[in-house]
Amino acid sequence: MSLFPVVGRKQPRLRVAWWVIVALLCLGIFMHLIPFFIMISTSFKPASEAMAMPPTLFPREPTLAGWELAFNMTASARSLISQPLSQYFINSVIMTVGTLLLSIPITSMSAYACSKLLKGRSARYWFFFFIGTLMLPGIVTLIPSYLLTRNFPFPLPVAPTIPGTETPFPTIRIWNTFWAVILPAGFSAGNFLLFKGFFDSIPDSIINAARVDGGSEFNIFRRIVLPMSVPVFAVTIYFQFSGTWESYLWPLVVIQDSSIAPLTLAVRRLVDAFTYAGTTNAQTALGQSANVSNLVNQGLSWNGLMVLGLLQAIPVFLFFIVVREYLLKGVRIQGLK
Amino acid sequence: MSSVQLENVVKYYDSALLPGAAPALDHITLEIRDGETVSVVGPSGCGKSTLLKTIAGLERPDAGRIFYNQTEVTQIPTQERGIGMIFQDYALYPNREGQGNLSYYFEVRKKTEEEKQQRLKETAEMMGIGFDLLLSRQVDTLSGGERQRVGIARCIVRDPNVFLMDEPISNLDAKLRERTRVEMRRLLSKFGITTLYVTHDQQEAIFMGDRIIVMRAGRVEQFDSFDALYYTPANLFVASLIGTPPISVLPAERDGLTLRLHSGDSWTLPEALAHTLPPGRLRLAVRPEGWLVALQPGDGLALNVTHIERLYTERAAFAHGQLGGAAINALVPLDFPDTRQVFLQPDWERSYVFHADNESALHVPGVPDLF
Amino acid sequence: MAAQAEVLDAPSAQSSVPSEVKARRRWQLALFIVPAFLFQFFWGWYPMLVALFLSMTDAPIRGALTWQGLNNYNRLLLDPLVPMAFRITLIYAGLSILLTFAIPIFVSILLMEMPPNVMRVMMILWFLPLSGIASTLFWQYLYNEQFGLFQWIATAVLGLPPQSFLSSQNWVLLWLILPSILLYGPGLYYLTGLQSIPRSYYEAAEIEGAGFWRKIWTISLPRLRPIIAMTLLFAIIGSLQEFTFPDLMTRGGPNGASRTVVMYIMNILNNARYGDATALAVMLFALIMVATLIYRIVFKADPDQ
Repeated sequence: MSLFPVVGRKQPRLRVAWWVIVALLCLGIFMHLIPFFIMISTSFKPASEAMAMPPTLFPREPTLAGWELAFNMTASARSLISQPLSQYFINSVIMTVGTLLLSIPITSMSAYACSKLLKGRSARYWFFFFIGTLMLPGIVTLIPSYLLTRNFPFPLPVAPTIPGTETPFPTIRIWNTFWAVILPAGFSAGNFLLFKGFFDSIPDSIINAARVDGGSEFNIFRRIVLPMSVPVFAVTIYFQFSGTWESYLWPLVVIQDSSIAPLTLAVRRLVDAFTYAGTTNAQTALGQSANVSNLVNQGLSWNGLMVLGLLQAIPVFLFFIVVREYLLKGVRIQGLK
Repeated sequence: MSSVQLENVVKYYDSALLPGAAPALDHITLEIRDGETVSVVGPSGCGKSTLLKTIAGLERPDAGRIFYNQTEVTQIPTQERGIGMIFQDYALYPNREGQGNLSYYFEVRKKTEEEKQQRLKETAEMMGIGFDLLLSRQVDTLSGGERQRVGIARCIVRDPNVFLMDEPISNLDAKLRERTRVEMRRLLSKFGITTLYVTHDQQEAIFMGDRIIVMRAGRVEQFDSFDALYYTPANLFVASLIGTPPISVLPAERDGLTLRLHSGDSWTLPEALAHTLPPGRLRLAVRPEGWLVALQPGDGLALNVTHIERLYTERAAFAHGQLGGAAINALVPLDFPDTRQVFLQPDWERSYVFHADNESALHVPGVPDLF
Repeated sequence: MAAQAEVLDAPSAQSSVPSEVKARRRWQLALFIVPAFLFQFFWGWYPMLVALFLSMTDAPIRGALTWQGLNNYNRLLLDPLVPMAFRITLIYAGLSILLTFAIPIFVSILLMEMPPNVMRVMMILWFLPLSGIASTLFWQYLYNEQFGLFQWIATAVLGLPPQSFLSSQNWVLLWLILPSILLYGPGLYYLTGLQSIPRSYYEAAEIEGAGFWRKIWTISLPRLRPIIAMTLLFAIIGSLQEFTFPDLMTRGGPNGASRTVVMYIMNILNNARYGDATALAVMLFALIMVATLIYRIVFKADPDQ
């Protein structure tokens, strides 16, 4: 409401310009909503219609076959992804909830310490320590982190031997467990930045008043600061949630068993089956395309994949709707220096 | 209730560890008597808030010791000092309603519900009519004045040893400020709690404080009653800070009985005064009421009047002008005629003389015996 | 200076500290900082530093490490697929920033023009997140050469010969980037930034006679500058490490025409060549640091600082 003059809005020129902007925004929204529409629409089509040319806008014969089949994976589908879909969904939930429970308290408390407990030079050093990795490309840590999950605390393929003996150092192996996804996400530099920006905007005097009242630092954080900071918690939980729910590269590296694989990896398996059948070696390719045609005969094609996509999309989507009121209130960063 | 003593307290801020940086508090030694209200006044950045926070235990002194009632509290955390503090921005807990703000103290101390209710009731009685209504309201629905009332109640409810107030009313509008400070004075004299009151407004400091601490650049310049500060300032800084309109300062030079201004004009000093002053450069300072104003040239020097400010409510007027390069304001009767020129001479009994360089007082009028 | 020396000489106050008070203060601070320190150290700085070391060893699956010096790097530089991956990564990052970065900024500026209630609704719809994984499914469906919507548009609507889309070696990158125009950008940050601009700035500009574009150019954008600087930096760092979307869409094909550096790292990693994979990651790290540095220098020319 600030780019257009308040007085003289009725001028035809300004009126037209304003409506052009409204139209542009609506067009953008329309285009943004197309994927949701097509995915939902396709998920209700029968298998053959989902692969028909020309594509149909609405399912001609709406059916729940895609949904049913996707949930009751048949034997031939099992050869593509070995677990029932619900298992992948549950795995994703476990990883996401675990990450949230670990990372949000740890990150918020360290940001609070940097904002309100530490002063002067030490606050700056700690800030750099926590924020530094955000400015550096994370890819370089991929392989050492992967090796860490295998031989913690040695980021090496094999643990070194204890000097003078043949026995290797004892190591902790979290690779191929849920912990391999949850633990490395225990601290999030991006969320640290959001928390710090928000806590910085809380006046020191409130914290001081609580200290005078006799609260310990932790009590102040829990009883005074936490209730004031619901918006930033909403935003960071949302970011952490969608980040973990959508994570793909890291689970690909550290999760091998499909019984604990998240939904994203299941999507990859199925997409592979449908689109790359034939790109790897001829033997498996043949088997896979046979499986695929089998599936299509049973009524599962892209309609089922869209169900999978929707299952992946809906939690993030719902979460966004829930926290929408807090989104604008929770972000209070003014950029990095 | 207790007295507060500071012994050589020094406080540096982190950034001030660079060589040559000035301390925020520079060897402060003072004693606040039991039950006394003391105002702290000074320009912004003089360390008055730091002084308050150090006494509160929110800042740790780098050196020196702090006593409450002869007991050392230097290393005791704020939580255990039993103080009450009021903040400029009220610092109410925004997610709690009025009562929740008062009860946090009892929650963290695991006090019984009866004790809490008892204290709440007593506090509400002390705070006066209509206060109960504030307790059930959310903080963000309260006006500035109401918030500060809750803030004050939050302090009273714990029956503190020491009351610390950091510019508590400077965020209120002028009218409310007047009312609140009367109200606070009433409460303070009722409790007789030792109080430290920080403000940048000298009027407020005078009104609130039994005694006043004047601070500059981390040092206490003078700590005394208002009369003492007004009539016997330790230096030019104190003299110019206290009093409205401010004291007029004229750089001058004494030569025998002649006091010559930079403009070349001169007055003749009374002999008794002249003998107490060193020869050479000086600073003469005269308060508005310390001028002898005449319409006819006599012994006085001509002052070109820029305007006459008539304060009808105060039944007084001030003539403003320039003399010898210094701004002058002189008290005149309200019915003083509009004129372009008056003739001025200091009433030597009521004028101040300061050292030209270190600005310490050479001659002050002294507290008058009124009765 | 005398006073300062006295302070540093630990005066009486310091020595008379009750030790339990000090310990409690430390303990409270530790409660807040130590867990985050451990995680940030073990999963942040530690692997980052170790990467440099690892990239100069062979890091075999079994047996002892042997020091390789720069051998890994030499071998990678001789691998023709490495420069190709870097070229593709640069094109991908450049194109995607060029095509997509500015859109959320202007959308946010325009959204602020709507009446508050309309704005809230529009904001939610604009920034409604579509899961990245789900969107790969969707776009693959649309790009399908036999029955995709785009093929239908190309052949039936525009009357073109059948297109190869994602299997076209020349165009695959463009097809990969186009969908991200609709993806959720950091619009939220811009909106909060715009919200904090005082109304009076615009009113002052209006009195000066500034029009629509002029207000955007002289008030909105300069005020957003610190936020834009930050999001752009993250966009550069992020897009040079792109993996998920191209991997799910094309698997790097056709013939490696969409294989970014990170995808190539994953290929090497799958062959358990840890040393080589880390060395390539370090090379990408270096490239990103250079890009960041250039960006910093360009953005330093800030009139406000």
